[in-house]
Amino acid sequence: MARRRRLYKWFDERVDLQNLEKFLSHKTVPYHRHSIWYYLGGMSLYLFVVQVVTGILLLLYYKPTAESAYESVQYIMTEVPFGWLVRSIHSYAANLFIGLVFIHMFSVFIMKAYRKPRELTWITGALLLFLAMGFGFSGYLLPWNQLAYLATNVGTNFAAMIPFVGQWVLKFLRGGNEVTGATLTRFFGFHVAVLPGLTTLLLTIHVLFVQRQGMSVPVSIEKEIAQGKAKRMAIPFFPNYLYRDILGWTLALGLIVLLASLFPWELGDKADMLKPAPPHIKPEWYFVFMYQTLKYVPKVVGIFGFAVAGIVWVLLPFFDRKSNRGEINRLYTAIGVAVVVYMIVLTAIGYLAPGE
Amino acid sequence: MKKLLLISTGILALCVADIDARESSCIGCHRSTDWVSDTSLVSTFLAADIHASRGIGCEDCHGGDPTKGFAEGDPDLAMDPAKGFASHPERAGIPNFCARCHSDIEFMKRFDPKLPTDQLSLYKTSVHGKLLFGGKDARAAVCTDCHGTHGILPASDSRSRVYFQNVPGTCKVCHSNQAYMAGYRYKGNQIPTDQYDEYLRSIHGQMALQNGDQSAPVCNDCHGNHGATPPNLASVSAACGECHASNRDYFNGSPHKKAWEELGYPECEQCHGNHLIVAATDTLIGVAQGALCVQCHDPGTGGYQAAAQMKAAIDSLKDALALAEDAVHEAETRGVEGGQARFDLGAAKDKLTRVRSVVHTFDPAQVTEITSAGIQTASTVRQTALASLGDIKIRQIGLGMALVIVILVAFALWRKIKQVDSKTDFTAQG
Repeated sequence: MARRRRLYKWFDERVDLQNLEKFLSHKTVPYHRHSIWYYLGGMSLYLFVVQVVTGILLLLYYKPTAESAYESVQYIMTEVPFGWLVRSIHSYAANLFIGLVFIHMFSVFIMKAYRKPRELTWITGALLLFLAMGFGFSGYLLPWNQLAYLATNVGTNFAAMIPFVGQWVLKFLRGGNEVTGATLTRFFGFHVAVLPGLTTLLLTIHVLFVQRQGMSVPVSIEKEIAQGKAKRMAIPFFPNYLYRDILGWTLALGLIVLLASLFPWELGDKADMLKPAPPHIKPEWYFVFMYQTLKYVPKVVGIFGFAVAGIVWVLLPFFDRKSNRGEINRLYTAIGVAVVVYMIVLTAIGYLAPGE
Repeated sequence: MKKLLLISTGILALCVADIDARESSCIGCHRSTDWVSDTSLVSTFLAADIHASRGIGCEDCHGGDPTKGFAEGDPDLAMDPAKGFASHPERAGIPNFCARCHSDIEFMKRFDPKLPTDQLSLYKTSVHGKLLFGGKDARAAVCTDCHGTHGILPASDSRSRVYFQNVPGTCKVCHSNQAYMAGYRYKGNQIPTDQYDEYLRSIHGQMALQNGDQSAPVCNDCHGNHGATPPNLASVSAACGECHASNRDYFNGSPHKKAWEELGYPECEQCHGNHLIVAATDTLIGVAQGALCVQCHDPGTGGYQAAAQMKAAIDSLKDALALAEDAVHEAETRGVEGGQARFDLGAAKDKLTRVRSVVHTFDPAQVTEITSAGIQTASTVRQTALASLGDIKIRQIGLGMALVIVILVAFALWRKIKQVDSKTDFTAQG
C-alpha cells in the first residue's frame, strides 16, 4: 500500500494527478429514461480502437498487390498464429462499428442532440460516418477475392455517373480505367493512411466537443424538468458510468467472439478479372439501400439525390430552428423515423425480394 | 504563301524522283504512269518486300542495266538482253529462278547464317514439285503462289501469307477450290477440298487461329512446307510425334503398332482423325457407347477387358480428384487452407495428365500404376483438407471458452455497477 502511495506521489508531482482526479470526480453524465443511447458513442470509439489494433496486426503480414494480396490474407488465416482470429475480429468489428455509428447517429437525431450549441459535434459526427463507410468500402477490396473485386467494380462505376467530373473521379478511385492491382494499392493507401489520419483528426475534435459541452438532454426531458414533472439527475462518470461503458465493451467483445466462432469470416475465391460476374451481386449491407434505390430511379438523379441528402443531413442543425429554440419538433422526428424505415425496407428488399 | 509552299513541294518531289531515277531506271519508269499503267508493283516492292529492305534491287532478279534508260527516255537501254535482262520467268521456271540465290549457301549467309538453303531440294520431293517437274503440270504451286512476288514478307511478319496463322488460308486458295483440285488424285482417290473447313473446327485450328497459340500446328507443321506431302501410313505418328512425343513413343512400343501395320491403319489418325482432330476426351477409351476400343475388340476378348480396366482406372482417379478438389476448395474459401494442399493436388492432377498419355501403351498395368499413385495423393490431400476444416471446430470450442470468460467478466462488472450505484445519490449530481 505504501508502495502504491509512493508511486501515486511520484506521478502526482510530475503530472498533477490530483487535478485529474478532481476533474473526474466532478464529471457527470445526465441520467434519464433515454440515457441508454449515450453509450453508443463510447462503444463506437471502442470498436474503432479494436479496428486500429487488429488492423495494425494484419498490416504486419498483408501485401497490397494484386499478385499477393489474396495469398497474404490466406497466409494470415492459415499460417500466422491466431491470424484467423485477428482477421475475423477485424471484419466483424468493422461491420458492428458501422452499424453502431448509424444507430448512434439516428439516436442523436431523434433526441435532437444536434441542436444549439452542439451543431459542430453533429457535423464532425456525420463526417465520421462517411469516413466509416469509406473505411468499409476500401477495406472490402483488400483481400482481393472475387466478390470484393466485382463489388468494387459496381461501386466505383457509380462514381462515373457524377455529372462533369464522374470520369475523373472514377479514374482517381481506380487508378486507371479498370479495377486492377493499381486500385488495390490505392484503396490500401486510403484504408491505412488517408482515412485513419482524417478520422483521428475528426474523432479528436468530436470527442473534445462532447467533453467540453457534456451530453445533451432531450427536449422532452428538459420540458418535464422545467415543469417540475421530473428531477434533473446525473450519474458520476467515474466510476459508475465508466463501469457501464466497460460492461458494454465487454459484451461487444463477447458478441464479436460469438460471431467469429459461429461464422468464421470466409476468404472466398481469388479475384479473376476474366470471370463473369455472378447474378444479383450486391455491395456491403450498408450500401444496399442506396444500391437498391438506384435500381428504381435514373442513376444520375439517384446519385444527385443522395449527394444533396447527404449535404442537407450534415447541415441539419441549421435547419431545425424549432429544436434550437428548445421546442419539440415532431416533423423532424417523423423525418428521422421515415429515413430509418426507408433504409431498412430498401435493404430488406435488396436481400429478400425475388430475383435480387 | 500557299503558292510558295506548292512550288517547294513540287521541286522536292521532282528531286526525289530524280534521285530514284538515277539510282534505278527500273524504279524510275515503273513508278511513272508515262511508262506503265500499274505502278503498284514498285510501291509494293519498296514498301515492305524483304528483298528491297535487304538491298536487293530489281536487276538482281531480272537482270538488265538499272543505270540507263530512264534519264535517256529509252527503257530498252535498261531492259537490254545483252546485259542479262530476262524479264520474269515462266511459272515452271520460278523455283529455279528463286533458287539461284536461295540455294546459294555463300550468298544467303550474308543475310542470315541460319537461313536454310534446301528449299529447292525439298520442293523437288514435294507433291507440288513432282507435279511441276515430273508431271509438267504448270498449275502446281510454285514459290510465288505461297510467298507472293513483289511484296514478299518474312514468315515472322503477321502480314505474310506464310505467317503461321495465315498458312491455312494460303493453302486453302487451291486446296479448297473444287474446280482447281478436280483433276488431282491421291492413291487413286479424289483429293478432298474440305480440309480447311475441318481444320477450322479442330482443336489445332481453334488454338492456332482463335487463340493465336504458336505451338499449335498449321498445315505445314504436319505436311512440311517446301517438301509438302501427305504423311504416309507409317509416318503419321512421326508427324504427330513432333509435338505429342510421349504418345508417339508409347504407341510405337504398344501391341497396336504391329497390328496397325498389318491392318494398314494410319496410326494416330485411325482414332483421332486428321484435319478434324477434336480435343481428345476420356470417352474415347473404354467399352461404353461411343468408345473407340469396342470398334475392334469384342466383349470377352482380352482387348475388351483391357479397355474396360483402363477406363475404370482413369474414372477412379477423376473421382478421387473431384472429391479432393471439393474439400480443398471449401477449406480455401473458409480460410483454413493456405496452399500446400492445392500444391499437392496439382501433383495428383499431373497424374491424370500423364495417364492420358500412358494410355497409348494400351497396357492396363502401366495405366493402373499411375492412377493408383494419383488416387493415393488425392486421398491424402483430401484428408489434409478435411482435417483443416475440422480445425474450425477446435477454434469454435476455444472461442466458446473465451466467451464464457467474457460473460463472467461482464457479470462481475454488472455486480460492481450495482455496488457503486447503491452508494451513489443520482439526484445530488445534477
